Amino acid sequence: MRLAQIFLFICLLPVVAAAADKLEIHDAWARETPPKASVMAGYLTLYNPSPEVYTLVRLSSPDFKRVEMHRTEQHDGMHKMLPVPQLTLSSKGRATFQPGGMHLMLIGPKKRLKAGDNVTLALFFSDGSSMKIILPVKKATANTDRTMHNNQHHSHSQQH
Amino acid sequence: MTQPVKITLSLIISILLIGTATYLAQQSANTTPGNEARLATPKPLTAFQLTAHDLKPLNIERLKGKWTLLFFGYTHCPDVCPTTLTELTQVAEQLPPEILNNTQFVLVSVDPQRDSPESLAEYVSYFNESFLGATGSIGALTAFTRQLDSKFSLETDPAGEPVVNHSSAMLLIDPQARYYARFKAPHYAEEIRAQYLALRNSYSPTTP
Ligand SMILES: [Cu+2]
Repeated sequence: MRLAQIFLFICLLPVVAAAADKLEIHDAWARETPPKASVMAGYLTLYNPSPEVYTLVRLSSPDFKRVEMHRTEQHDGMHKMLPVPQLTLSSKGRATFQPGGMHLMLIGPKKRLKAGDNVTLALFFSDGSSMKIILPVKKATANTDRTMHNNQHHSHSQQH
Repeated sequence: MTQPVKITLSLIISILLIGTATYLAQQSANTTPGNEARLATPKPLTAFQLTAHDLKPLNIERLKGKWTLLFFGYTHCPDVCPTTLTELTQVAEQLPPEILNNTQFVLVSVDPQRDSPESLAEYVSYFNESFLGATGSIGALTAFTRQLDSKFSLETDPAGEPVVNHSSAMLLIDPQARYYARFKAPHYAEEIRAQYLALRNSYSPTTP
C-alpha cells in the first residue's frame, strides 16, 4: 500500500514538463470542402502558458496523406502560400491558424469529410512529446471566417 | 469629487470621445463606398476566350448585359479561395433579387493543368449553384489577367508540388464589358455588397 503510494508520487513528480502536457489548443476546426477536393484547411490556436519554449516540428493525421503548416501572404497584391517548416511558441506565446493567415494544409484526404465529421491530428514537438487533437469539420460561413479574422488577438473568447 | 471618481469620469469621457470620433470617421467613410474602387476611366475589354464550367465559352459576349464580379484562384487552394467564395456566397444571398438577376460571379482558375471545366463545375456550385467557374490555356489566361491589371505565376516547390500565386483583388466588370472597379483583399461580404451597390447607383452607361 505504502509502496504503491510512493511509486505513484515519484511518477507524478514533474521532471521537465513535456510540450504535449503544457500547450493549450483552442478553436480547432477544419473547413468542409467541395466534393473531391484534394486538400482541406485546418485552423486552431496554440497557447503556451508555461515558462518553457516549445517547438512544433511535425503534424500527421490518419485521415490524410500529409499535413503541413502554411501561411497565406499578400505581397504586391498577390496571394501566396508559403510553407512554415516549424513553429516556435515562446513562454506565454500564442500562434493562431485562421482563414487568410496561417493554416494547416490537410493534403490528400482518404475519404471526403463533411460537416459533423472529425479530423484526428497528431502534433509532434521537438522535445519528443506528441499530442493528439480533434478538429471538427464545419461548413464555413462568411461569419465564421470573419469572426476568426477579427478574433485573432483574443481567440480565447471564441467558441466553435 | 474624490480622485478615483475624477479619474473614472475622465476615462469614461475620453472613451466616449474616441468612440464618437471612430463612429463619425466610419460614417464619413461609408458615405461614398465604392468610389475609391472605381477606375478613373472604365477600360473596355478586348476579345478573349476562356472556357466556362458549362463548357461554353466565357468571352466578351457573355459579359455583356450583366455586371460581373470576378476573381482569380484555383481549386487546390484550401484557404483563401474558399474564404473569398464564402464571402461571395453571402453577397449573392443578400443582394435584392432584381440586382442578383443581372449579376454574375466568376472564379477564373489560373491552374488549368489541374482544374478542368468539369472539376470547376463541381467546385463553384458547392458554394452557389449560380456561380461560374472558368479557365483556359496559359496564354489565354495571361492575356486575360493582363487586361484586368492582374497576374499569376505557376511554380513548383522543392517537393515537386505545384505552387500557384495569383492576384488577390476582385474585379468588377460593367454590362458593357468594361473593367470598371477593383476591390482589394481581404474581401468581406458587407463591403463588397455596399461598394457594388453604390457603384451601380452612381452608374451611367453613357459617361466614361
Ligand atoms: Cu496552404
